Amino acid sequence: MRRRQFLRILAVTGCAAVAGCAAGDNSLALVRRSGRLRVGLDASFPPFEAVAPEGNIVGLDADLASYVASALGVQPEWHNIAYDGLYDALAARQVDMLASALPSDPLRTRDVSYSQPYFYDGVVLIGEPGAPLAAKLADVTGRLAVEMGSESAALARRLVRRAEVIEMMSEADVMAAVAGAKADWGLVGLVSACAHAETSGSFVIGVQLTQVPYCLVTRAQDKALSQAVSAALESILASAAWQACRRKWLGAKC
Amino acid sequence: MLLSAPPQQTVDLGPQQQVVSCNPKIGVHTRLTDEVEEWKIKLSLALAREMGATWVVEYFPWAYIEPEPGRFDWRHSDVILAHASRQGLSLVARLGYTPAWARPDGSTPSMLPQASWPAFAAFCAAFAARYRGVLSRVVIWNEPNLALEWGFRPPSPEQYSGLLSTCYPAIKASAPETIVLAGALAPMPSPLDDPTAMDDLTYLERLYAAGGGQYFDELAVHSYGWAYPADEPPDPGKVSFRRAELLRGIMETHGDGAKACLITEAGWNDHPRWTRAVSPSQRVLFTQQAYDLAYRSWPWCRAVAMWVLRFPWPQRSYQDYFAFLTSDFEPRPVYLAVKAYASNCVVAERPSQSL
Repeated sequence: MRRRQFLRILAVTGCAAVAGCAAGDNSLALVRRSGRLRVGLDASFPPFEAVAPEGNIVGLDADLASYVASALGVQPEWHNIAYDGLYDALAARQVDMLASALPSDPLRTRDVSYSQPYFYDGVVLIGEPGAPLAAKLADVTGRLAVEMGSESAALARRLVRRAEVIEMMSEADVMAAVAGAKADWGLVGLVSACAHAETSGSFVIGVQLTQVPYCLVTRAQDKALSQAVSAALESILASAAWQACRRKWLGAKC
Repeated sequence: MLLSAPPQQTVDLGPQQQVVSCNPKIGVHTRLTDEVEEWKIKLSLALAREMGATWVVEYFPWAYIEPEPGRFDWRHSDVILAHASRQGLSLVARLGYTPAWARPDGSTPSMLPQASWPAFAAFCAAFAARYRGVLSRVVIWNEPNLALEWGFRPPSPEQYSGLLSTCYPAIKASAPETIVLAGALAPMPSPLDDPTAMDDLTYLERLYAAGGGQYFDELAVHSYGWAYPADEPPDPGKVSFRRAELLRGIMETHGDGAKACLITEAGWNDHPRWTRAVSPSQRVLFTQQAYDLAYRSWPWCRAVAMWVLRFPWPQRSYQDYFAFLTSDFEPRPVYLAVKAYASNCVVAERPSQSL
C-alpha cells in the first residue's frame, strides 16, 4: 500500500520536474543524476531529529526527508550540521535541502524557498482533565503556570487578565503542576505537551496560542528541485503514512 | 549644497539622568556601531539606564572614524558619547578595526601590522582627548588570542604587548586620566599547538612575561557562562562565568592585584537549538546571580557588562538570543528580570518552590 502511494507521489513530482526543466534549471536533474538527496539537519532536536544510539539519524524530519527522497527516486544522504551552519551549508551547496524543524523566515526568501508547512509548533494551553478549556488567555481564571523567562511567560504577561500567573523553572514543572492540581492551567510548547500527555494523560491540551510553521528549505534558484519537493510534500502530507509518522514521533495527541 | 551640509541634530538630548540601581556593577554591552538613527541610540541608552545599568561598553571602529589618514569623522561617536553622558552612564570604548589605508591589500580589518601601530595609537590618543571628561575607559583591541581577531595570524602575546606599549603612552600623553584596559581575551581552553587560538590563561601569562603588564591600568575580561550556572567553580578546562577568577589569579601572581578587572562581555544564551544555550528561566537566574556574585564577592571586578543589550537588526542566528531587547525594543524576560533585581538586589528564588 505504501509503495502504491509513493508511485502516485512520483507521478506528481515528475510533473513538477518537467516544469522546472522548462525553466532551464537543472537542480532536480542533478539530484536525480547523483542518486542522492543531500539533507542538512541538526540532529539535536528530538523528536524532529536526533542521533540514535546506533549512530543513525532518526526523527520526524528524517522520516519526512526519506519520503521526499523516495518520491524523487533517490536516496537520502544525511549531513548533521550545527544549527547555525544550516543555511550556510545550503548556500554553499554542501546540501540540497534542509529538514530540521526550521520555521519559515520571510527575511530569507531572497535566498531560499520554503515549502508549505508540514507542522505548526507553538504554545498551547493545558488544563486539568475534565475541566472546560478556555478559548483564549483573557478568559483564564485561577492559577496559570508558565516557564519563567519563556515565550509563554511573555504571552501571559500581555494577555492574561484574570488569572494569577505563577512562574516555574521548566515546562516539566508546569506540566507537573497542572497534573498535580497545583495550577489550574499551564502554557507550554505543543511538542512537550504532546509527549507528556501521551505518557501521563494527566492533563488535556487546549487551544494553540502561537503558530510556528516548520518547512523544508531549498535554494531559491533551485526552482525545479523546490517544486518537486513541494509537490512530493503535498502528497505525503495527505497520506496515511504521514499520519502514522506523526503519531510515531509526536504521539496521538498531536 | 544641502546634501553636503552637516546633519542637523534632530533628537534632543533631554534632561540629565541618573542611574538608579542597588548594584553599581551592573553593565551591558550596547551595539550602536551600526545604528543609524539617533532616536534609537538615545532609546537604547535610556533603556540600559532604566534596566539599572551603570556601565555600557561600546565598540568604536577606527576605520569608521578615520577613513583616510588624518581625516576624522566624529559625528557618530559624538552622538553616542553625548547621549550616554546625558543618561548618566559610564561608557567604556572598545577601539579596533583597522582602516584599509593602514593594512595590506586583501587583509581584513582585524589585521593591524606593526608599521601601523603608531597610527592606531594616534587614533586612540585622539579619541581619548576628544572625549575627556565623558569617556570612562578605553579598551585596546579585542580578543587578540584569536587568529580571527589578529589578522588571521597566529596569536602572539609578545606582539600584543608591543601594541599596548605603543598605545598606552600615547593615550596618557593626550588624556592622562583615561583608564586604559588591555583587550579582553576570548575565554577558551585551547591546545598549545592550535594556530587559530591561544588559551586565554596561557596568553595572559605570556603577556606578563613579555612586559605587557606595565601598559594597562585594568584588564578587560570576557566571561561567558555557556551552559553552567554563574557559581560553577572555575576550571581551566572549561568556559564558565567564574573563569574570570583564573585570570585574576594570574594578575595577582604577577603583582597586579591593585588593578581592577572589568568584564566587557559575559552572559547566557537561551536559543532553543544552540548547543551552548540554557533555558530562558536558567538564563534569567544565572544572569541575576552573575551580577550579584560580582557585587558581593569580587571586590577586584569593576563591573560586569553582559552581551548584548540589542542588535540594530535581527541577526537571524543564535546571537539574537544573547540580546536583552529585541531589535524593535521589546524587552526580553532577562531584561525585566535584571531591572527587577536592580531595584532590590534580590536574586529570584527558584520559582517552582513557591507552589
